Amino acid sequence: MRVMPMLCPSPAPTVLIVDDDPSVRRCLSRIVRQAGWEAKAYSSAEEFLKELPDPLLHPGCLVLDLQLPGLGGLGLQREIGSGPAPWPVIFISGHGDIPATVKAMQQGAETFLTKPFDDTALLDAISGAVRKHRAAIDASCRRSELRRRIDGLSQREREVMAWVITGALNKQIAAGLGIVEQTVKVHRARVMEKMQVDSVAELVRACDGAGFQPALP
Amino acid sequence: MSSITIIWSAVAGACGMLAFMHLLVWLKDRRSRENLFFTLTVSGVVGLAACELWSMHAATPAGYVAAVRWAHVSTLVCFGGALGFIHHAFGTGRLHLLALTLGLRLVAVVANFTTGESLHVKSLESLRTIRFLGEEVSILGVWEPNRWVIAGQLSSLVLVIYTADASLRLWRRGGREEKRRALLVGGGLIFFALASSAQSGLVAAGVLEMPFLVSFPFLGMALAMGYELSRGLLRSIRLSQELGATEQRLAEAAAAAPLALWEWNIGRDEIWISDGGRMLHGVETGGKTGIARFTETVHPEDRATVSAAIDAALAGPGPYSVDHRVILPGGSCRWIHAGGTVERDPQGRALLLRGVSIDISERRKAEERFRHVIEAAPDAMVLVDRKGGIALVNARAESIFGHPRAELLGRPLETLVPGYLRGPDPGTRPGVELVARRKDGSEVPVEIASSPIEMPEGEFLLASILDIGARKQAEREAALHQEELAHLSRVSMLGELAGALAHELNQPLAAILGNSQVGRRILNDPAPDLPEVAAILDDITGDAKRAGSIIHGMRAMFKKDAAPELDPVDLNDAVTQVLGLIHSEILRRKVEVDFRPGPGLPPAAAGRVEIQQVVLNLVMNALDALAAVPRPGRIGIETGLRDGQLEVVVHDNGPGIPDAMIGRLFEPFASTKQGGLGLGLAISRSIAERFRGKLLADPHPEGGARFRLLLPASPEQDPSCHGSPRRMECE
Repeated sequence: MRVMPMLCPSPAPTVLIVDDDPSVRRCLSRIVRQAGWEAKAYSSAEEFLKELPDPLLHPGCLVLDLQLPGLGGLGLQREIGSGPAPWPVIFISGHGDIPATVKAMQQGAETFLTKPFDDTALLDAISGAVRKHRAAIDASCRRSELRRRIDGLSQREREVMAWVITGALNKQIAAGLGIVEQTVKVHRARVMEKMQVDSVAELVRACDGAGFQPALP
Repeated sequence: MSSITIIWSAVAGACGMLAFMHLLVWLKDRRSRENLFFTLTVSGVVGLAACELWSMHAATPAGYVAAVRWAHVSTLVCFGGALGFIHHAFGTGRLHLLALTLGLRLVAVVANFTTGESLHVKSLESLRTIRFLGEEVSILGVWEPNRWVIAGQLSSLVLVIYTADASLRLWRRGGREEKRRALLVGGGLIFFALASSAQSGLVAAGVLEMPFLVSFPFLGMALAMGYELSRGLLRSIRLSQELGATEQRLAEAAAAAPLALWEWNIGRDEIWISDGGRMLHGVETGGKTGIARFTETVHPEDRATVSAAIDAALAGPGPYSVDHRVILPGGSCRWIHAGGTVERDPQGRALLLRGVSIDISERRKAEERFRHVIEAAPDAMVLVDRKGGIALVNARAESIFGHPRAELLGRPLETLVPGYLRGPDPGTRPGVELVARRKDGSEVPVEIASSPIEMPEGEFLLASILDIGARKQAEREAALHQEELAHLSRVSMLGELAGALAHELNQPLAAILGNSQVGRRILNDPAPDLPEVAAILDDITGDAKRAGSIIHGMRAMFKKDAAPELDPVDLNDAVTQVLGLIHSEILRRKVEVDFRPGPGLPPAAAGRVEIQQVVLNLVMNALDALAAVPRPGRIGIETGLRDGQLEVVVHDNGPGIPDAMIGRLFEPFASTKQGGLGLGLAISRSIAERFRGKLLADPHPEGGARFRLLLPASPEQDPSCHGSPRRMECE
């Protein structure tokens, strides 16, 4: 479709591993690399936070040990949970600590694996998470693009667009705004052009994707 | 009166006096035979003097010859007396020489009467008159000598030989008294015998113009003997004076103490007892006391003992010594100890038994009380003499050793309790634990203490023997219970840690599983990265070992070890292992643990598992204490060496020990934890004490609690005792 040009960068997905056990860390890195992803390993939450890569630029996911010294797995998950496209988190835990599991899930953990884990389960979880993150990044990109387009509209154009996406006819809009119908038509055409849409349906979707809320009287 | 008559009469009179005196002495005491023989000798001298006087005044040859004949009889008496004296006083003369002398002299006397006119004179024609000592005296005139005179001369010669021999032998005995007697009496006798023979020989040969003067040499002989006798007399006077003083002292002593002095004249069967002694022995005063009366006073049961003791003393050579009871006139009893010595004549016949008796009733009563106390003692009591033989036992000793009393008496203590008397000092010793042997051969653990005890019979050792079989059993059971408790506490602690331990084990297992799966995938690649596979295998090996050591550590903690061996434990290693076990628990609790191992520590002499249990307990307590604290928890662990003792310090920044708990922290069932059994610290302290260490608690200067585990350092390793379960002996 014409309205979705590839505006967002799409580098190879990276799996970020945080585990204090060096052997487990090495093992996780190997599994990830073997499956064709980039792997980046950290020994603690603090070390990871110091570097703190941008999730938008690094599609992928986080593989976290639940029991990390210091901040801990849940703490790290909380730290990075905000932002336009946070990394999905795959938790790995030594044993089924139910309160911690619930907490992790509430905070939006992707999967919860118990050691020792099967590599296919991990790989499945990672590919699911990576796909999800890609989608999130795309969504985020698209939203920013649409916002950029909305920002490019004039005040009058934005008012006209708000009427249009509610399904109002030109003369209704003219009456509502107190301008002539011909002027509405001109504005409408400009909106469709600036928003790079061909139909009202597309415009509605774009506004929805950008989170545009029409401020109707 | 003429001078000759005066001199000869005086000699005869003096000798007669002496003879009479000494005869009286002999009659008083028949044992003093010297006096009898002296009497004989001087009587002979009297006869000789009389015969000589008679011969000198003889008017006719017949009268002269008669006088000489009787003079020979006197000579025989003199010889007999002198020989008897020597024989008796010296005790060294040869009897056959004595018999020969007397025999020859008898022959001479017989010849004197049967041949010729006398021994010297075969026939006498006439007498001559010469002046002697200013007086006319008769001597042999014309006469023929008798050949039988040789018998008399031989007799004198043998007398000299006999006396010389006896004197020499007495001399050789060596005593000062003996030498003096040999020289004076023996020498005097020989000298005067030779002198008389020489004088009579010279007169008979006509060389000397004088009468026979035999009485004077014999007088000299008698005087030598008399001197000897008078010395004896003097000595006995001095002795009797000394005896008087001693007797007085003894009498005073006897009066002051319940002491009896007594003397039994065996020959006459007369018993003399001091006045105090009569009361002691219950013998009436006055009247004669013989052995029969004495025996009546002795308790009937003791009569056989006393009579045996008397027989033994009389047979010699030991003294008389016996304890017996006497029956007093009132019918009561008294214990007496009597001791004495036997006096004997030179032939060894018992003459006197004299000694003392003392009242030993008090001592006997004390001994009786002693025996009662011993008998009633709850422990086995054994009285042992210097040679290690058992002299007295009580009922408890019979029951411990399983021997009846009769079998124990006289038996060496060593066979019952081997090794006890071999100790360095058999005197006072505190309790020693040994193994005693029963009659049936079984062994019984005992504790023996002993002390020397002075008894009338000498020095003894009084040993009290306690059967500690039950105590040993109780100790063993207590140790077992303690070990079981420690084990339970360990298991329960590990139970609390189950999750953490599972996590700890899951780490390597997860790594192993993941690594092997990824390795498999790599090998499926068309161009497998073999170096990576090698690295994977290395990691798998490392993790498998890690898992193994965790399981090993856990198993050690779960294991029940009835008698923990003393191993040299590296404390840093032990603490590291404990922290490894609870690594994930520490993470879960979000507590920071700071372990500062002390450098270059010697190993501790303790059990590894037990020490780890204590450290684990201390760290777990700290973790629990920190759970209640909102601020970040910290636990500090340090090891070090202080004053020669190894130290593990565990401190935390928690709330510290509540004041109410400080005193009873180590008591069982005292817990501040909800759901805590309160055994952890009690068991930990008992473990520390088992290894001769300590577990102390105090507030940390910067707040929180501090526990210090002190342990003795393992001694320098002696390779010979490495691994030996009784390493303590090597210290």
